[in-house]
Amino acid sequence: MNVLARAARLRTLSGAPILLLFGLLFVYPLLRFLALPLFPSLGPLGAVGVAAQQSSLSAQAILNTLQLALITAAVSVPAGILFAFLLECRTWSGNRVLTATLWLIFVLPSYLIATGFQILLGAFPRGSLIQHLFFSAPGIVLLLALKGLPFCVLAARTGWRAIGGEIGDAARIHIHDAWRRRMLLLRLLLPTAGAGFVIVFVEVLQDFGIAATLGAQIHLPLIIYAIYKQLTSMPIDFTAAARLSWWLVLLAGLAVALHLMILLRYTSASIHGRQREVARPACHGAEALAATLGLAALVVLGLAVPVLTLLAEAALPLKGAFLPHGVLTSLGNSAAYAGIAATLAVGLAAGLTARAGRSGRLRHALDVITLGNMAVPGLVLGAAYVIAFNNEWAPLYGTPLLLVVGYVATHTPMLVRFLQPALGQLHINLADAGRVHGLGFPRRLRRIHIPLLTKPLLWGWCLAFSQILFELPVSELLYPAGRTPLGVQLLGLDQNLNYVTEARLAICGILVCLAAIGVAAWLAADDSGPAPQERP
Amino acid sequence: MTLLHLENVQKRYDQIQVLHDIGLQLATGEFLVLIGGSGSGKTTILRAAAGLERVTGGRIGLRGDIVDDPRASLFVPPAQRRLGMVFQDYALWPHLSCLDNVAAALPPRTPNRLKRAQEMLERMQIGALAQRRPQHLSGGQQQRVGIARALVAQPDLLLLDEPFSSLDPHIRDQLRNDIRGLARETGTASLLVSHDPTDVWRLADRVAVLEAGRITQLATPEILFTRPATPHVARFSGAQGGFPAVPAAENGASGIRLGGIFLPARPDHPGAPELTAYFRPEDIISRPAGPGLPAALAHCVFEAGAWLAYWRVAGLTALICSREAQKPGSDARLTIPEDKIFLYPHDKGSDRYVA
Repeated sequence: MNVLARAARLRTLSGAPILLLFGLLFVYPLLRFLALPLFPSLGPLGAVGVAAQQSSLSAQAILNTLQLALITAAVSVPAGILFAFLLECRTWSGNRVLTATLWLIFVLPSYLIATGFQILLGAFPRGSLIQHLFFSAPGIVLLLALKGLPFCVLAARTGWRAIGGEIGDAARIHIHDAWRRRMLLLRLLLPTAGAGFVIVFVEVLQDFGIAATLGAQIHLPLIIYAIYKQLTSMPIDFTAAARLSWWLVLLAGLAVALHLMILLRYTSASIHGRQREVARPACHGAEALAATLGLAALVVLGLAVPVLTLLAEAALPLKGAFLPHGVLTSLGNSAAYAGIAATLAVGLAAGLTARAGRSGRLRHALDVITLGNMAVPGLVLGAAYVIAFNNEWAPLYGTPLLLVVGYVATHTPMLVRFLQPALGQLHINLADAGRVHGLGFPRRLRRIHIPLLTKPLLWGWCLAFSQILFELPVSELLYPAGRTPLGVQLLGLDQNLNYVTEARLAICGILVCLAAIGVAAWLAADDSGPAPQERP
Repeated sequence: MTLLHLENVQKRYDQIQVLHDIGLQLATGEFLVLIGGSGSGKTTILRAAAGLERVTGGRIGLRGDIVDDPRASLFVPPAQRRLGMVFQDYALWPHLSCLDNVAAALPPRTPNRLKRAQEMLERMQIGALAQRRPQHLSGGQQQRVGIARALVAQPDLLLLDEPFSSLDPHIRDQLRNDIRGLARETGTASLLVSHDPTDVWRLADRVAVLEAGRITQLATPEILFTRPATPHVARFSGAQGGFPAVPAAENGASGIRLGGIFLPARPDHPGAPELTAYFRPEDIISRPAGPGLPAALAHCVFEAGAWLAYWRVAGLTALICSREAQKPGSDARLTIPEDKIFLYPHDKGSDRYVA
């Protein structure tokens, strides 16, 4: 009994560093920052300042953000459901292209997509209808909907997977009226649609790239950009920024709570029993035509316009060097930051996921933390770090270390979600079997863990690397003087309308990303030959 | 009267031929069990009968009408085939109560719709759970709702897709009895897919055995047991094998040589130079002395009222298992009645010993 009690105590204690880390990276900075409206003295400047003068602007930003988030989610969800239907329920030659397109849109920074459109539509005659539509709220909705689509498709696929299996078959057999069958399936899709709506809604609230490019260009106040302005324009007002952050966190928190409620209430719909894999019918006739048109629209709007426009712009002649030295340095800075931060974040996420696999309580906590993190935009966390680590006992503000910590903190939850399915397959019994059969830790690591984990860890690293390389909100607030990151440099060029240099730098960044992904793909290459023999 | 008939049915997924010329007839009120291993095509046949899959060759008829014929571009969708189907993982609609799940299978203007659904649930002994959602029920209770849903519209054909495989053994027995009883009572024909031999013995009027997309035996359970057509069917019906044997004759009697010893066997065995032999533990007779295979006891275990003895026989690598009323001695002579030895041509590529 004593041994069991000691083991339980040890297990509890081994979770302590995780809690400590979580407290240090999330709870303490956020509490301190968000407490500013109540306790302004907690701020570095102790200023309450000019917030009152800007309250009408803030109210407008809140209203605009709310409207845009609702409209974008309403636009994205039907499209997401239809694309998810193609991926889950149909055999179609376009499915690979669709998957690749969605991944690329997910990875491509929103401000680069916005820049591509800005350049292209800027070339149209001034005052034309298309310019009028794009350089206004509908343009922002289009860009946000494109960025939200991959998330929505991901959520909707879960729903279609459930309906595409036996539950859908049961409806096809037992419900004779077509409209009743459709209503039933629609009803089954509602939780998924709700989850997709919430996810896109939160993404819109938090997207800084589009707000800082097209939003700033058309002077459309949005919460996320208003927070940034409070933190970077003189006089700096942390309290007003914190007050606006509360709105963002509250709106996102409400949405996440709704998402959790939907998940809890309708879990059975998505994890109902074991779903037998059934053959998917092929796309025919009008359905295939609609699918092709939809995919073409997605490829054109989501990839071709931004990427080809950037390429065309980059090819325009410009006096002097291809890229000024100072501009190119930002790419080197970000590549270094991204390499270090992605490695740390992947290691931390893998450790947390593996640890959580052994403890139901920790797994639950990790779910809550990763979902809770959705409610905290990178910009708010960055602002919280400015205050929390800008004092005499933690003088980290302005150092590369804090920037890397910020990157790790903002990307680890996403990586935990990404790695959970892969590491979940690495059942604890596999390691236990190795232990029971006398494999020491080094051999277990070499023969069991590394072969099984190399691929997901490398892909996780690629995902984190490409996102951190172009990261904007945390970079804007935490970058050390003289070491400008890529995102900050690109945004600066965009706001100065220096599109040629911006396009060249962005293309160089994309090439660095592709090179990193290529190396990872080569390392993770799946040799389909026989398993390697262990040396005696 | 034939209710369902499959005529030269073929199904191909891309380059893989899943079903080869399947011919099958199901009479009104008959209970047919489709049995086979994983990937044998049994579920594909069921799904084709339901209209959930379209066949790529041959045709399917239901109640005398063709419902799927790719050559004539004829296909009747599942909802119009008026069938009931029970799914392996219940497939209950999670947002509906049990009552609504069952009622949903009745057309909207059916008189006393909810009452009929409730009565069906009562017949399945889960009337008290009518207002609960499926996720609040046990697996057995969920499957009862699934059966109620399948039967409430009084279909003349019930399709069952491994309905017991997710359930505990004692619940399986109860549900087998319930389904058999209901099918008999209502005169419903049933087509059940399974890989569990118990389903054959407890439920089937006839059995179709599928191997690699082909029906290798279509017979009553009795025939299946007494004259298994293939090694797979022999194993499935409880025989052990395949022991290597060669055809032989001694003193004018035909038989086989097993482990170098002559055993009389039915003369109608195939004329292949090499054979594999199968026999059941309960058919082996062990005596302390006399004719037969000299065997040494390797080990024995007590199982469900009898001893299972495992014998080592010279010349055979695998042990022979016999079922004994008393704990056996260390040595014995084993004989097997000649009509209880099942012989098949030896197939080096596919055969293996299974006790």
